[in-house]
Amino acid sequence: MNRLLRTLMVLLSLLPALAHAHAVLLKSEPAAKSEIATSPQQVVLEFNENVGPIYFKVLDKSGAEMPASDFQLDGNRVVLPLTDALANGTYAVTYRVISADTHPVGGMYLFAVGEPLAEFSAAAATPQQSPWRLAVGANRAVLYATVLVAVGAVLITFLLALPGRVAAVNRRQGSIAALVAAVSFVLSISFGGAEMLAGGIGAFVSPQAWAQAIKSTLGISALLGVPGALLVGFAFRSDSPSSAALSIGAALMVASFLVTGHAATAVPVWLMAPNVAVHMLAGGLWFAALLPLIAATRQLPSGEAATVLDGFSKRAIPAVALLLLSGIVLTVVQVRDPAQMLGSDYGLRLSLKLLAVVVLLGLAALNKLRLTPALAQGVTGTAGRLLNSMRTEYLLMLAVLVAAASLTLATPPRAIGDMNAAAAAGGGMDMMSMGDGFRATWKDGDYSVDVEVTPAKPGENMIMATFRDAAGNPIAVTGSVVVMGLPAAQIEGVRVSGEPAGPEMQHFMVSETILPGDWTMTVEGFVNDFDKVMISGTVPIR
Amino acid sequence: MKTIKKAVMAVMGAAGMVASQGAGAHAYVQLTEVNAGWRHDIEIRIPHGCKGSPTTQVRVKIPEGVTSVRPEINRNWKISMKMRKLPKPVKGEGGVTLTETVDEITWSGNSLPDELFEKFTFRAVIPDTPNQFLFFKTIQTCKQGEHKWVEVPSDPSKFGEFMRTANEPAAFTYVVKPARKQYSF
Repeated sequence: MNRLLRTLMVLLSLLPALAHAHAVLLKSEPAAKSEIATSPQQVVLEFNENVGPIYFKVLDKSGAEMPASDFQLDGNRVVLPLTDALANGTYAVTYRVISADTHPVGGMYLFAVGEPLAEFSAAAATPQQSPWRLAVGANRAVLYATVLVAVGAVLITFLLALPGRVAAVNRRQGSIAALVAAVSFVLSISFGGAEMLAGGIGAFVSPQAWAQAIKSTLGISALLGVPGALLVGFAFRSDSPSSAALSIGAALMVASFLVTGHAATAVPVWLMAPNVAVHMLAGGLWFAALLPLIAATRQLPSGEAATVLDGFSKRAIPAVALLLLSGIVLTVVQVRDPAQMLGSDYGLRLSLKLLAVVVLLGLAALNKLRLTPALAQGVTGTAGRLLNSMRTEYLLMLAVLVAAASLTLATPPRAIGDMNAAAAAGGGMDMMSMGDGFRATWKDGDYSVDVEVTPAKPGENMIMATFRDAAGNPIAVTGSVVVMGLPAAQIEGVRVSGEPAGPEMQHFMVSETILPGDWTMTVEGFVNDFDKVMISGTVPIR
Repeated sequence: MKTIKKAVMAVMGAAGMVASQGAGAHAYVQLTEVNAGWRHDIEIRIPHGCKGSPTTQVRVKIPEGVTSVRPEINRNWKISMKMRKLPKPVKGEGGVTLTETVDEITWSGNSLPDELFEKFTFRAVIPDTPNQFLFFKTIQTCKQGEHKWVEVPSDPSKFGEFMRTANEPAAFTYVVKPARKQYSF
């Protein structure tokens, strides 16, 4: 009897407590998003009611838990004493408590010690480790090489008068390069889509991967490049290729490079796109000339060979000048600050490329100034030395192209600067796609949401979301919120409200994604007063 | 002994019910179960303001299938109703043909302090669809801020998980099959 009465009393006493709402974090020390000069001795969370803590941690940028003693409960305050002082940097406080109504409440916020709160840094813009990243890079190198040779072969056909057998070599290299380029354009869709979806091995044949890539600038690029490459490839198979086919095809291939990529889409486009085109044409002429010139040196008597070489170097000098000039313009716009040439990932790759170019120029100068005249005079052994020199040039050219292709995997300092400026200005800038980042479409019942996370790297991320109805038409939503969590690090409940950005697009700036990992994201929006659409998915932050 | 045991069970049951409703922290329906096809008095109870701010308006959406909606008179609040067209005209009380039914009820023009709760009542006929949840989406507007109690589970069979994870779940009740017909009144 007594036991039952006591149970009854306990239950009755609980009922008033059950009537409370969820616990709400009123304030904390250090405060959210604050920057303090020296390391705090403890972290304090203050709620609107008594809570029972489940976990309470401080994490650094790598996700490591900072040493602390057991948290202490003091009514509605939870105190975490830190045993070691925190070094300068940005930290995440992540917590989960039980409210009086037994509902768990979790959250996460950032604070910084001794330096500004983490924003995009060049160090954060490191290339992803996904295998698709490598495939994309390798395919891009192949694409550069083949398109340059094909376009260069077209230029040679129009600009140089080559003797019969040498001209045949040029046509053959043009045809093979163009047809391989066509395949490479198609593969860029497949690999690009697989990389965007961060998919597994089978991703490159998945329809979603293809759909994603086709919708991006890769799609337009291939739309221009594949017909262009096929035109050139098949035209070169005839002994007297159609000039129309060659010029249209070459123009299409050059255009395909201007609709995508960091350089051609950088601002100001009126300056960058033509410079990219000039860079391609000049570089193509040089690269494509090597094989015919090697053939000329091997097959023709030295006098004739020297004439051919001279004829080329006359065209080459203005071409090289244009190549270097356009290269300087592109570098200045992309890198901005000379210190970034060695200080940023993009800058380092560019520096390697430029180093190879310097060596190439040295070899070319050697050929023109010493070896070609020697060949004309019939000095023995010159042909052999010329051939070695030109073959070395060919290999160096390939190295230059690989370095150039690898630029696509890094973020130019210009873009990083733009992102920081946009973040500082409150994210109102209309951002162009950097070619980095994560895109996906998630479905839930009648609705779907297109999500784009830029740059999907640790640090601050910008999210653009477009909701669509069952027919795929974009719809307007109000009160959009993005809820993010990283289960692996016990981070949850990061809620960021969105702003409409353009018709039917929602824009969010999330600064809490400082740790790499597979973040869960739920995008919420009200399609009318009573209907809230909530769609979830996973975002890889690498 | 038996009576005390029954009382304890009742209290525990009530506590369980209250807890399963988010422990009265959310807008909720006073009836945890309703009979299919019966006329019930439904109370939407608002137990709290918005982070301390008093409630100034309550807007309830009548779900599909719930008909013959008639709010209780409330001399403290201004009551307004929004109608929607019925897919097929139905016979109402007194042989009248009805072409529309109540879609939303709005109570406004007053202020409910955070520390008090209030009931917003209406009569309605529950649809004859037993063994499923019935959701009354409620928008609670406060002097500062609002709560939109409108989340519903995407998978009705995972209701427990929904209740654990939902941020602002809709007020709900459960429709059961009654043992007998309702005596009309």
